[in-house]
Amino acid sequence: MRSWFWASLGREVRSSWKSLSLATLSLFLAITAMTSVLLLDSRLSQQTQRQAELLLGGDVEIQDVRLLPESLLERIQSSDKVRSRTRVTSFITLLGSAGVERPRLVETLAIDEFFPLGSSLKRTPAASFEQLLLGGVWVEKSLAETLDLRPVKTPVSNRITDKNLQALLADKRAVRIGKRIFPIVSLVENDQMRDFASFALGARIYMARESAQKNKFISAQSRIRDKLILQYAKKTNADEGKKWLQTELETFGSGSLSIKTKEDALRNAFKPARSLFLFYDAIGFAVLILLGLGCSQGISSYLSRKKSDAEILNRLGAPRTQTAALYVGNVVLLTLLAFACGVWAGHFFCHVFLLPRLNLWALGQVSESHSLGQMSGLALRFGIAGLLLTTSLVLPGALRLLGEKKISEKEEKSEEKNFYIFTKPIQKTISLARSSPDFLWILANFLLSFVISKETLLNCIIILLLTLIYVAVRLAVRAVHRFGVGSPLKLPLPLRLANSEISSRPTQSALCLMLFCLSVCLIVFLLDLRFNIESQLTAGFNMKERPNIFVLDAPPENLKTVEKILSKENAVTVLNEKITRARLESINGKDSESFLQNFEGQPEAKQNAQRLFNREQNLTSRHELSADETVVAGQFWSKSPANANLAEVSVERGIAETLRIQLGDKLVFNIQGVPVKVKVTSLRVVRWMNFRPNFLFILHPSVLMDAPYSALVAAHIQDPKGKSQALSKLFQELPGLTTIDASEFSAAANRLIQGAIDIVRTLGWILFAGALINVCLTAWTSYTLRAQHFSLYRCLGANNTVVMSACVAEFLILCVVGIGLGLAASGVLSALVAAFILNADDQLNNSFLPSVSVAATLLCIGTAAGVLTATLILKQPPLKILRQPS
Amino acid sequence: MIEIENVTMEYPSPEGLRLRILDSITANIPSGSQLGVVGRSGSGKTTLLSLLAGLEKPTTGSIRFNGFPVSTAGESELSRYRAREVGFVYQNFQLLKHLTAQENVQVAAEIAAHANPRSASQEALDWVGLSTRLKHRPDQLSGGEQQRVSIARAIVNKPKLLLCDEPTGNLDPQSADQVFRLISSLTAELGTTLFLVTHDYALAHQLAGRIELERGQLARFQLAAEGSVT
Repeated sequence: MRSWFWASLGREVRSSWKSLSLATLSLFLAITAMTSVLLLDSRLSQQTQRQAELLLGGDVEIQDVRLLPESLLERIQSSDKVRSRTRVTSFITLLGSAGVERPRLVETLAIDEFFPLGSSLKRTPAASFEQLLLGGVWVEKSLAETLDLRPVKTPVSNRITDKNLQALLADKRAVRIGKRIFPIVSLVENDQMRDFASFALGARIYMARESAQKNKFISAQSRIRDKLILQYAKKTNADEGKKWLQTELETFGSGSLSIKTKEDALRNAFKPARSLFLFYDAIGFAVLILLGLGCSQGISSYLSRKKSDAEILNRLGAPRTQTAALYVGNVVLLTLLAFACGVWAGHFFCHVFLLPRLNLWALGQVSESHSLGQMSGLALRFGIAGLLLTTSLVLPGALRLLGEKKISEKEEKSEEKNFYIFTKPIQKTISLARSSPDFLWILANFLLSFVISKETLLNCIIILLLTLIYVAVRLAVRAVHRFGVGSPLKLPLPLRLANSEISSRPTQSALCLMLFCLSVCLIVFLLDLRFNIESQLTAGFNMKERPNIFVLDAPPENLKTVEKILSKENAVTVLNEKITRARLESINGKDSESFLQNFEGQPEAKQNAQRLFNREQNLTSRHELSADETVVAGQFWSKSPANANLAEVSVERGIAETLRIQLGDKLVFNIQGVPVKVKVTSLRVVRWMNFRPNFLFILHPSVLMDAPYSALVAAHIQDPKGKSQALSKLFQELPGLTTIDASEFSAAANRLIQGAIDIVRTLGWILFAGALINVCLTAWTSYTLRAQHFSLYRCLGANNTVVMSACVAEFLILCVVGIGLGLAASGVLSALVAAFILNADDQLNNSFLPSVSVAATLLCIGTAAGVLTATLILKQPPLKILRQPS
Repeated sequence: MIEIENVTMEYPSPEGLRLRILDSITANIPSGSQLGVVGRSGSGKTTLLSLLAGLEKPTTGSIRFNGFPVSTAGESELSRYRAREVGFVYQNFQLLKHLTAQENVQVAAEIAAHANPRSASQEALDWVGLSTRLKHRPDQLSGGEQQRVSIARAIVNKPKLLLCDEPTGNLDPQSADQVFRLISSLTAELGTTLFLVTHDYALAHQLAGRIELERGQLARFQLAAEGSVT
């Protein structure tokens, strides 16, 4: 019997390999997409956490704009709630080097040996901390390139003489900070500059705290930012630790002391990245559900077809369990194989393709940092998922296969009797599961969302939405029946036959339609997204005019020199904006304290409001809005001001919402001790994703006419040589100014966005391939029925043209409706993404050409499928087909 | 008049040989004849029906129906011929499960470009005694009723030739008898030539004429009026 079984199994797999392999391939693609997205999400969330830790350097950070009180440090040191503490102090120093006439201001970081961000700094050569203690410094690489600085050839020792130092300075291997000369022991490349989280400049010089103190760079009088980074003891949890620190700080009563936790850093720094991961997760889950639906139909249909074969084998004496195992067994094996291969391929795809697209750092230590416990957890989750998916895929077909055929005449109508040992409600449930493999698959995915993904709520919403759409599509497919045979409408005969065919297989038609719809939706959406992000990046500037040099805080007296240097290198000056620094003093007469006392809302919102109220604001004035700004309420400068004494201000909508500012509110700014009262006359939306400076408050030009200001100059220099010459000249002639080479930021941003789009586009293509496989699968599994129907039409007198047209029309109708729904869905999706991920007000602009190309490709595929099916049907004698069992 | 002249039909076998299904069949059948076609399985009964309907072309020989060259006509002419002149009844009914009884009949009328397919289908179902079951789907009808719907579909265009491929094979004796009577009475009433393929010799004997096939050859051909044997 055993040899019979295995021989039959081999024969069975050989004879049904086409439909089985299509179903397996579809499931494989679905699992691959889902696994890769889940792993990507898992890796990136680990990495973002790690980055948040790196950004912060520990569990919590205490920060002050003065030196932290020694008594506070002592209390923290003596507390058993803290495991370790590290102090980092940043300050501004004057930096000079050989060949540079005037020193320039740079941000310097004084660090301890256990500097927590050390691991994210790439140092060439990798000089040790001892080198810093011996008086060496690390210099940030881009600064070194601008000043043509290089590291020392041999390690620094304590026997270094002034003469040696002078020689190193002359050789550009040392820098002068203040009055002292410091040899450069390493050039530092700050990885974080390229990360999602921080497009911040970071420090330019790193030195040992001891060295900074010895040279009196850090003192109570100097302008510094002092940070204490703490790691809690194991027994202290984050909430407990935060409460304890807040109590400790209150006893010191310093208003400028602030606490920043790891969660704060994570929340603030990775919000856009998090939204993007959620978006990936959602797409991955949608792909799994839809491709799995096709697979479940294919398997269910295969097992139904095998019912008569199983009965024949039973009559020949094969045990019922073995015949069931023969047909169900191969499906189970193939499903598990598809699952295992899919998980492996997803893992491979994630690491080889997806992660490098986002950033190389994601491939770093985290990818190898799974502990045994984590691995076991992951294996358990995947094991449960495999079992759940396999069961839901195989169960409906297996129940049909195991159903016993009724033979008595009386029970002829009720085709099968099933499971008479079960009670009626259970029988009903089994019957429902048997007849609805698609809904069983959806239910399995619902359960799966609790097991496999962290985004359970999001996935449940997706499942609910897809189920609703699926039900609606199925109902719509049924409604097509009204336009089929017997319709009072005088539609052409092929169209009536096609409609009739569509409604005869509602599940398969609905599935085809959904798959077409979703693949069109995603592909068009992705093309739009790419187009829009690119256009946003270049909005207002063409590629030639995108600024690659920024000069910050240029005093009015330096402006002419700046312009002269830039124009010498053929720079296109994109922007020359006057900026006035001010503090917001009151809103409607309420100062910061009374405003915050009456503030209603979440503590987080209150914290945000406090931060925005207290910080120094950059004000500017404009006659007209820039291309990236839109007024959403009020009027940008009223023609006849109602109150001439009160100047007008336009406020960015985000900050207005945070500070509860409304139209007509009165604000007071303190500009260098002078209170300036203004009235809010308009709210603006700013498209932040541009390379312009954007402002939260824009005042009427008349207000700031006499106010002190500095300028922000943005320019574009096409020639890289000219750009570096301009940068050098700016540095030499105006060392006090901060100049930024924006090319690296721009390139990094482009690379990241491109990577993010590449990932979603790849998922879209996977779905598209899956959709095509599923269309083939549904066409294959419904071929017998379709062939019988069309053979009947031929016997009834339908000619070859009618058969061909009806067949093509059937596929084309599904394509056209799918494309229509897909385009509509892509519009909705783009609006959602614009609102919740890109924080834009309008939905993305639909690009016409890609939509048309995708639609045309699908129409061609639909036509080809129709022609191929009709050709196969027309090749066979109709009576021969009609004599075959249904 | 149906003129079958020296018709031979061959198919290629999987081994690359030629399988002769029908071998030099010749017969002249007057319009309105009712013939039972009998013979063992594989004797070529269904192939003969295919050739008469113009669904396949004979390897050699010719078939003419009232002067229309069935064996040589083009595809569109044959489709028109099938739609207007030929009706089919099958052993397994071949009703479209997603359509109602009326819609199943209406399909044939619509394909034949009938002026009023709806009333034609109602009339046809009325002939077969199913005027009360117009909106029922096949799975709501018994086997006998389903076959009657199939008969209504076959006669909705009042064909000149009705080809029945074992129409009673799937029915119990009582329903089979009813269906047989219905077919013979309706064809007699409409003056339609009937070819009824069956394994049941007793049933075939009830018809006036008989064609008996044996290994693709015409073993016996009998028309009622003449009683002649070829």
